[in-house]
Amino acid sequence: MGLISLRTANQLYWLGRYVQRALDLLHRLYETHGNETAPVGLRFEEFCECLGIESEFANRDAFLQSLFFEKENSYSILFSLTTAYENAVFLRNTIGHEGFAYLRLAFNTLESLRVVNFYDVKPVIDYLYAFWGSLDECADRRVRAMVRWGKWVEIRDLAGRFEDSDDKLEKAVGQLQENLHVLEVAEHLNVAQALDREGGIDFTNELFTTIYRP
Amino acid sequence: MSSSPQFTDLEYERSADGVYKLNYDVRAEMDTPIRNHAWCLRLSLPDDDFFEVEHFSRYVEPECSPSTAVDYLGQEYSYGLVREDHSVFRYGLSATIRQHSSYGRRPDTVPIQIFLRSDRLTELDHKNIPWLAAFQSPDKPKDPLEWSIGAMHEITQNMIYLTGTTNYSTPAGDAVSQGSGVCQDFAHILIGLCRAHGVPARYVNGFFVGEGETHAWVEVFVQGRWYGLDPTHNRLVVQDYVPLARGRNAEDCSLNRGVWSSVVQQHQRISASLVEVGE
Amino acid sequence: MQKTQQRGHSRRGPGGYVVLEPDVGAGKNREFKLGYSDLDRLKAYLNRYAITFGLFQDNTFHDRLFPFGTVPRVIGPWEFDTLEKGLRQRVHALNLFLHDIYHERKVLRDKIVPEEFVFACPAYLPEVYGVRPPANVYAHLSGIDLVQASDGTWFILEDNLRVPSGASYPLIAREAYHTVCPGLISDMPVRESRDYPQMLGRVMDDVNPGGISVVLSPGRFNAAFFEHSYLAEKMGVPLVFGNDLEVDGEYVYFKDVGGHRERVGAVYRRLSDEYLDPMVFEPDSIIGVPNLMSVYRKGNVAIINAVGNGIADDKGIYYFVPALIKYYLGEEAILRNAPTYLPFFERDRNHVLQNLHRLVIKDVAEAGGYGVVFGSMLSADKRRLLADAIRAEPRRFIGQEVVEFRSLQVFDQHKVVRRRADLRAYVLHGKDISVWPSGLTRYAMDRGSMIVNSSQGGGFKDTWVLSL
Repeated sequence: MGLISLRTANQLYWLGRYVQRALDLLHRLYETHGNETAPVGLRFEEFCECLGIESEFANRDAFLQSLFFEKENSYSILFSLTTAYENAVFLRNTIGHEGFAYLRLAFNTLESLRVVNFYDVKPVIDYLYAFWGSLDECADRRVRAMVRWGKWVEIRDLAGRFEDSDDKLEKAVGQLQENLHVLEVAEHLNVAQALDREGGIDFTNELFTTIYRP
Repeated sequence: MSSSPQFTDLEYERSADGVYKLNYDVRAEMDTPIRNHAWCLRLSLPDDDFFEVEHFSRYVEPECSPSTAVDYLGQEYSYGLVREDHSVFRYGLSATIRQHSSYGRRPDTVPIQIFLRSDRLTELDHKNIPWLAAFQSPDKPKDPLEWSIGAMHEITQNMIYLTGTTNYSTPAGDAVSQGSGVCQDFAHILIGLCRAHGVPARYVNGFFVGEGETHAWVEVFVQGRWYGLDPTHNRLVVQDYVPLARGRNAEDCSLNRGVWSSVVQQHQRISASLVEVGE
Repeated sequence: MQKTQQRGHSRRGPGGYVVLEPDVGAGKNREFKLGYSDLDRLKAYLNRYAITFGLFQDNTFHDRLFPFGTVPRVIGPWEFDTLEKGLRQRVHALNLFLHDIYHERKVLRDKIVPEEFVFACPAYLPEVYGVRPPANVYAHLSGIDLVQASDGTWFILEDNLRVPSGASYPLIAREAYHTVCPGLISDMPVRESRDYPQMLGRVMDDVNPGGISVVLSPGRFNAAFFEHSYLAEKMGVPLVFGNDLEVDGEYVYFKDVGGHRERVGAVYRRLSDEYLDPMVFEPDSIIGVPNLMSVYRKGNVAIINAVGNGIADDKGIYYFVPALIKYYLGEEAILRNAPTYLPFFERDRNHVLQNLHRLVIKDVAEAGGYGVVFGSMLSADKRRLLADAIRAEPRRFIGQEVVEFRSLQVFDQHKVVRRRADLRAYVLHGKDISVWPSGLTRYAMDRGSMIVNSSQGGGFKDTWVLSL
């Protein structure tokens, strides 16, 4: 198995988080589609409330415009993909040249759009799934585990915010445990501690209460 | 500088040997703990005809199994890595040295011409400072040693020793313009003057007899030998000096370099003493 | 040239194509051509991978796409054979020069090179005086810049023995050709070049005193960061930044996140000497590895390229390379320097001053196409200023005849135009010396321009070397 530095581990984790954030929010945004008063998912005001962001939009289109393209909005799809891409630039050799290309294609496609049209956005989702697939095919097991870790934390974070049922979470935890067993406990601790220092979140605690839970 | 010691006689007899006790201790205190601290220290006495080291010990704390290596002038130095958190870094040495006061050190194997190359710290612009302009004649001095000693006199006559007016990276030119500096600046000025006249010159970092901090002086290369000149005290370096590092300039001779990843305030206390203890 | 231009015409319209030059198929009674639609596909293929180089403009960093000239440069087998011999000879001599200049200095004592050109040069680093790099190799990877004059003669323009970059661009372009037009490559046939990372990896193995190999990058905002990560992936070695490594005792280690560490035996570093070790060089460098030089001095790590190589590719030393080949190898130089004058010598100085209007003057301290002045483009006043500067500091400049170098086909907005181009050849020195059978062809963006550097807007092409 390849070697991974602490810096790389940290970036893989964030890559996982931001790719997942983009995908997850793309799905949720799609569900706000439909009848404005009775959407399948949430109304946009509720959506904003879940994320804890300002909801003063003139209409649903303005809301979508911001959630897709606003660079300053840390929950916008463009922001997530930009950040994921920035991490991936460092990780090109770790995640593989091909995996990198899918992220770039996703990023390029979204960046070239001006207005929200879910048909045009579909290739972005395709590329992101291609990225997950490429990662599974090509990347080192430890690399995969690090990215999955970030992915799982993001799933959990968003599920909490949107008050999802437990099913989705259970599935994600199972997937993560499957992946994480390739890592040494010391490795978990190292990464978690590095993340604690950087993000001000108690990952070490989370690691032991959630993943290694009895 | 008012009176300067007399030493018109350039013949240096081998005078009586002196025995010196050297103590050097540096304690650096950080306001927050640091980790992964890589360090590099000059904690070795030069291998020299002029010294017999009768007793020698050195230390670095926290403990971290130091290594040694040799630089391009053949000088030994120590380096290491402290991984764990620490907020005090302390090192030093103590030695008893018998010093033979003959003059003129053998050359090293490194090409002497590198001590002619001007650099940022020693470069001088002669034009605007009257006393420097007097040095401007392009002719090579007939007797380079005598010439260098004359240059040293000029420095002591035109510069005032004043702490706090310069720092570790002040170029010689700036010190000259303001007319003041410390031993490092005096040494850089003399080096700059010598090099401009084709006399190879280098920087020496070490100790001068007495209590205090470290000291810096100059060596010039004349007729196959290095001769020490101390422009701060306007005297020849015959005895009462113990060198720790030689190089092209102060940066090249720094006694202590350290690298760690956090930003901290550092308070450093240096104590050095070189005392003659007699036979 | 007129003739080839006629033969290499392109047909317009969507079914159009470019006939590759030189017209190597002529004898076989056929043309090798690239269709316009393929040229478009090639461009799209590269865009997918973000083939960028970084650029600082107005103090901000831009990741720029490196303009890709889709029509490859073609070099025939005999022609490349001569280039190969000449380049190997040149790098062999430069490696011996580097050893000599940091040890016995015979070349100075024998007055082949004046002392001033070595000791006064800031690229001569006393810090590595007496240090013997593993396997005694200094110039592991050299990027030698050449131009071809209109009559076909090749001239060496510049040697790069510090951190030559650029090989990854033709490398990835080749992937594109194999995807878009594999038939053309096998028909011609073009020599395989995609094993460059393996060649470089072998050089690292040859000089590695024990441990893993790594690529050490100065960081994301380096102009060639794409290349660092691409080569690391293709070589299968970790891409590291300074603080991923640590020196402990006699060795350098890679720190793995799992808590263990691995000894590093070879560092392909992409940062320059002065940032390599803050304990010895630039004390404020945060991109280096503290105490790396101590391990290097002990021979326990190979640094690729060796520290202190800058003296060998100095523009002043360039003048003496043919003499160095003669001195160290007892051979005549196979490849010629562009005719060069050193103002340092009085006779040359007079010649330079009298012919300023038709020479190109280079400041030896500058790189990347900066500090290059064409005398013909200066006003009389500016020319006088330059003459004064040369008189004041003759060692700082070299004067060169302007080589009228060949223009190559560039496909630009659906038509073929001609742009001047040079060639950077890559020479690898491990146990043996070999030349990569490809190279980075750089072309000027504007008609008539002779500045091909990527930092100044130039583009790149793949270089196809044909097999027999």
